[in-house]
Amino acid sequence: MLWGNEAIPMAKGSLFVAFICLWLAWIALTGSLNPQELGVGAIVAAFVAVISYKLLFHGGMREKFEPKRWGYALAYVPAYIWAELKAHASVIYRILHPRMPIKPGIVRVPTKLRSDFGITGLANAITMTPGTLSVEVNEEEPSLYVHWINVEAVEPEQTSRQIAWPFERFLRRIFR
Amino acid sequence: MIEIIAYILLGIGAFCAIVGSIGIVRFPDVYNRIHANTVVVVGGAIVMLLGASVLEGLSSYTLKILIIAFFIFLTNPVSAHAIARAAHKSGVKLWRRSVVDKLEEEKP
Repeated sequence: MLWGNEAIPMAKGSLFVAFICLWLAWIALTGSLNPQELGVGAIVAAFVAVISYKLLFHGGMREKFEPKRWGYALAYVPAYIWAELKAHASVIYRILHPRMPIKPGIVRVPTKLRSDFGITGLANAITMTPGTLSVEVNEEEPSLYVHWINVEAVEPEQTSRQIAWPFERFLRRIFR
Repeated sequence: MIEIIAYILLGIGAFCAIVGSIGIVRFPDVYNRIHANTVVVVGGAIVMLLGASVLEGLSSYTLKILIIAFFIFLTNPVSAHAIARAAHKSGVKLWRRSVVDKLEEEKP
């Protein structure tokens, strides 16, 4: 056992599914159906699948392909792009304004997400939007310390609503 | 039509790259500069790559461009977060006119 929790039963075909996904990625990237390319791709995909399928599929196959989660993941994309656009406009305004109207500081942002993937996704989304940058994670009382370029509020409820909620309302459904 | 969309995306990318670079010079401390850096990476690099993929049309290059964009999308927040965390751990002070530093006050 390299990784993964042995207590969680692995779905039967997960090694095979991982292999197929990786092989398809290889074929798409090389963009050729030459048998030599396909052969090398199969070998590499099999190797990577054997060492990493537990990372990809721990927790079983059925919940990975639950349509509701994928629906929320799709709905997350436009919401994310909208948040990016607003954040870019605000930071570009601050850069170009002659007096540089910034009010930076580090605030604590509590989150209701509990899963590792959820918190990672939230921290990444916060960092990817200019204007907010996650600096540290507090695991005891799940919250992120976020550097905010224009601190509008310090109280945890306010920061959570303004910084985390646009992403959290999707992530809590996608990653539970 | 497709070309116009592509050139608009490339133009937005170039604009964001220049403005973000100005921001890296103007902003006062490392944490604020990372915000400007994010503008360069997301607004500059990723939007430019999207523009390039629109210009290319449907081909295997498009897929490669999109995968490059996706990997930038995955790796940039990790490195930005690592730089900020390392800076704070090693005691880099916030800008003197910063309003609050909760992390310093209630170190977890």
